[in-house]
Amino acid sequence: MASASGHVSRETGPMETFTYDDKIVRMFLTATVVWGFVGMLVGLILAIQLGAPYLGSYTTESGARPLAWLSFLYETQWINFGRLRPLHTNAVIFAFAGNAIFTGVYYSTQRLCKARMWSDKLSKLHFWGWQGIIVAAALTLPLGITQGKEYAELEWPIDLAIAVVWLGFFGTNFIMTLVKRRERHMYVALWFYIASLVTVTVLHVFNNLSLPYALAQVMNGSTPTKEGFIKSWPVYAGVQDAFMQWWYGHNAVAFFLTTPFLGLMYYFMPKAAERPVYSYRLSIVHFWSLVFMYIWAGPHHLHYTSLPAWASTLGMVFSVMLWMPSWGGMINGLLTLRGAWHKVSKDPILKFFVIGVTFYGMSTFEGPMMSIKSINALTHYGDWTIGHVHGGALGWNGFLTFGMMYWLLPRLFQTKLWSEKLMAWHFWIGTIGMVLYVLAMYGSGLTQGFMWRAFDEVGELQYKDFVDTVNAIVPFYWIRAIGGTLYLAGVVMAGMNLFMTWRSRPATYAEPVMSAPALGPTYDDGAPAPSRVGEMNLPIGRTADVFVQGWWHRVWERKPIKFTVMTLLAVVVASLFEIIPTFLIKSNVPTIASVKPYTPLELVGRDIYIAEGCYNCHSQMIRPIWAETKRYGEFSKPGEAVYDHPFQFGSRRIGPDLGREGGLRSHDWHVRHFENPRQLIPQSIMPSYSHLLREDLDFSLAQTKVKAHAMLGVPYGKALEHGEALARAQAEKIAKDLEIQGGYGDMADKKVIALVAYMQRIGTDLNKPADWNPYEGFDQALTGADAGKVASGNTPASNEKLPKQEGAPE
Amino acid sequence: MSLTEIMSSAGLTFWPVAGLVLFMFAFALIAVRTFGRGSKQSQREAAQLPLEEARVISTSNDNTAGGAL
Repeated sequence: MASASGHVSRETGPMETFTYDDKIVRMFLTATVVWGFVGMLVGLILAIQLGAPYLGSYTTESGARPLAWLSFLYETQWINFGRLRPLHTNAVIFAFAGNAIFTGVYYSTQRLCKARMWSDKLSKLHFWGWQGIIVAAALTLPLGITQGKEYAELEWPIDLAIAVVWLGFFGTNFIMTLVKRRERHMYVALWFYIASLVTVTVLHVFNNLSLPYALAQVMNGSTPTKEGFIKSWPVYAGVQDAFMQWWYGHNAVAFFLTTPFLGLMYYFMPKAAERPVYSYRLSIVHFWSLVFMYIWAGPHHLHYTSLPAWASTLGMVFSVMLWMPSWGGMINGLLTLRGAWHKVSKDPILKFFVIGVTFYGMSTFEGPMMSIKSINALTHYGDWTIGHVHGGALGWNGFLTFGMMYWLLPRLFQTKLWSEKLMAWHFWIGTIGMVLYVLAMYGSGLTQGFMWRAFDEVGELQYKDFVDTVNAIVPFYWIRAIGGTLYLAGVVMAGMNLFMTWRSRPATYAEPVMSAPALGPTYDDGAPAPSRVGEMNLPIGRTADVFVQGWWHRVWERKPIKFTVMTLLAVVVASLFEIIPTFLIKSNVPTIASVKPYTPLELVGRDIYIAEGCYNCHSQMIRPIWAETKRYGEFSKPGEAVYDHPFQFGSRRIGPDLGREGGLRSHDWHVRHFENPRQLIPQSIMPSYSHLLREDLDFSLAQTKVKAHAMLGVPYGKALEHGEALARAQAEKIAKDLEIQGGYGDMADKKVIALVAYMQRIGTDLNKPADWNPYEGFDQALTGADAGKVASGNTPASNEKLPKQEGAPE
Repeated sequence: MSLTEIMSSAGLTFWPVAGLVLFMFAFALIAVRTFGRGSKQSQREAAQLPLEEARVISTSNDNTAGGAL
């Protein structure tokens, strides 16, 4: 039977009729645009937040501050940068891009398989389950409920829901549709979907292996509290946790933001251009190369950190190798338009695709380049990385999504697109916005990088005060905000086009009934049977002669389960090559005798640090680079983080590194800084955390938290049974020191005290004697001494006194 | 002796290189399969799949349009 394209079906099964489920595609498409708007609006708010403190503190000659009202942007705990940024990244990645993936996958899979999705019920469960997860993220992240790992912030109950919805609902439905298909060959787009499905599952499960607080409470004989269901700690610590996180983080980019979108590219670009992909062979090389290479690249996020150098180098090598297949894919996408370039000038849909694929090429050139250690030394922690990821997200993911959306709208709603003109406007305004955004971040990132490492003629840091490097980039933040506004305006146009097209839909959708033969028990693909075509004398030569004809791969291409297993195998084997040595070879993470577990109060404080999302702006990882050791002190060692569940190395420096923050400043400085950073550093753009000075500490949590960490292998010894008493004693001691330093009184039961305890500890163990006592001065619970006697005045910087502020709580 | 101790003393410095070689080998296999003497016809047919639509034999009405989506 010949189709319109001339393809002859060789199937021998009986003819069957079927329809497609396009309603689910319409639902996912609508969700894509809605969440795209929300995620990008939050991004715009974040961009404005970083410049707003300058406007808010602008004072006229008469002393008035006309823009002081903007302070709500950086003085409201629910929308502080640290809490809102994870909401932005999660919303754009998992809500916008996620729903876009599902839109394209549900549409194309049905057509490529000539089959309706296996289960309408699973499709609906998938849709509503995924939207429920997004809503849960939107509710929990602003409340500070987070695991504290970038792009994996969602807490354990939501993580479980993701696993069920992704694999249980979507995965089952997708794989079963493949199994029940009526087209023998699985088109390459489906391979990319398979790789995304299996790899994201593996990444999600292993990166999120954690100890739920509720489980720790139950196992220690306590009744689970509310906190038990919103808190967990990863089973990995320090360097190993960092390794797992960036193995996950980079491959989330690879297998959530790249491979599924490549599948969409390989399906929708030929559709829009009305011609087949330029080279099917190249698409096969593209697919397997990405699957084999991407999984190794994660460690390039940890160059010059305390990750073993071999892992870092391996990550770099594979990252650079990735450039070849990535550009092969880009060229394949662009050359699909061969002979159709005249259409591009007239058709905004093709324009979206061309710019999208071009940004894929730019990002996949820039990524390998930034993974080269010497370049990474300049770009890491800076805004170049932000420009890089936004080039990928706005250009590649965003424009491919919008191109797909405009192509789908008339087909899904069975009417004309409401406004071609608005679509064209969207394209141009989005492109200009994107270019402004990316260029601003390049400028900002290079400025930061060069200022951080600039030395004067006598070998001193030229910009000793970190805030000077912040001042310099604020103009770039405003250009970014303008670019973001333009891009968001384009999303609003897309939303309007979708809404108006939907409004002009017919009263009832026509549902075509299709016909195709079922897959028969036997199949002849028309290709010559494997045979010896060469003149080989040795048996091995004859075998190789047959092998290189590739029949074995053609068989795989028709077997979804086998294909899925082989893809999984490639991903797992590559992962194990990096993971096993990192976890099991002691010399990779040498221990340091003086590094002790956090005290119970510091543990509570650390969880506050995580909840407030401090890692979004501050790193705790000083690289062995002269400019860094000069600015921050001794470079970070792997053995320093062995009790860090989770690691808090961070990936950005909107604020300075905190790796050696402990003991540098007085308690009073920290408390006032948290209360309002601008009362100590007028040009600071850090949000205020005054709520921490008002909110009470729940000391009972200290006990169960210590026990939970002991379950993770942290050696607490005698302190294990005295968590609450030790936490109270240390809080009293810090509060007393605070008063001596001229700070606020009566603060012993406030959250800020726990956070100060943690801040004063960071990075201080390294230079202490091996037998030092972390409980010194408040160890009555351990020694049985009089609990009323609390030592004071022995913190490293307790003699620094700051003037008491007006309006300070008494 | 724990697994960590066994692994630590196993002298696995060649491990990353082995990984690199293994995956270069895999890449070579893929290249051989793709650019080797396979069936050009089957690849040409495969490339046409997105452009190929199943045959429509009739049209029914899906009554979901009057409502939401």
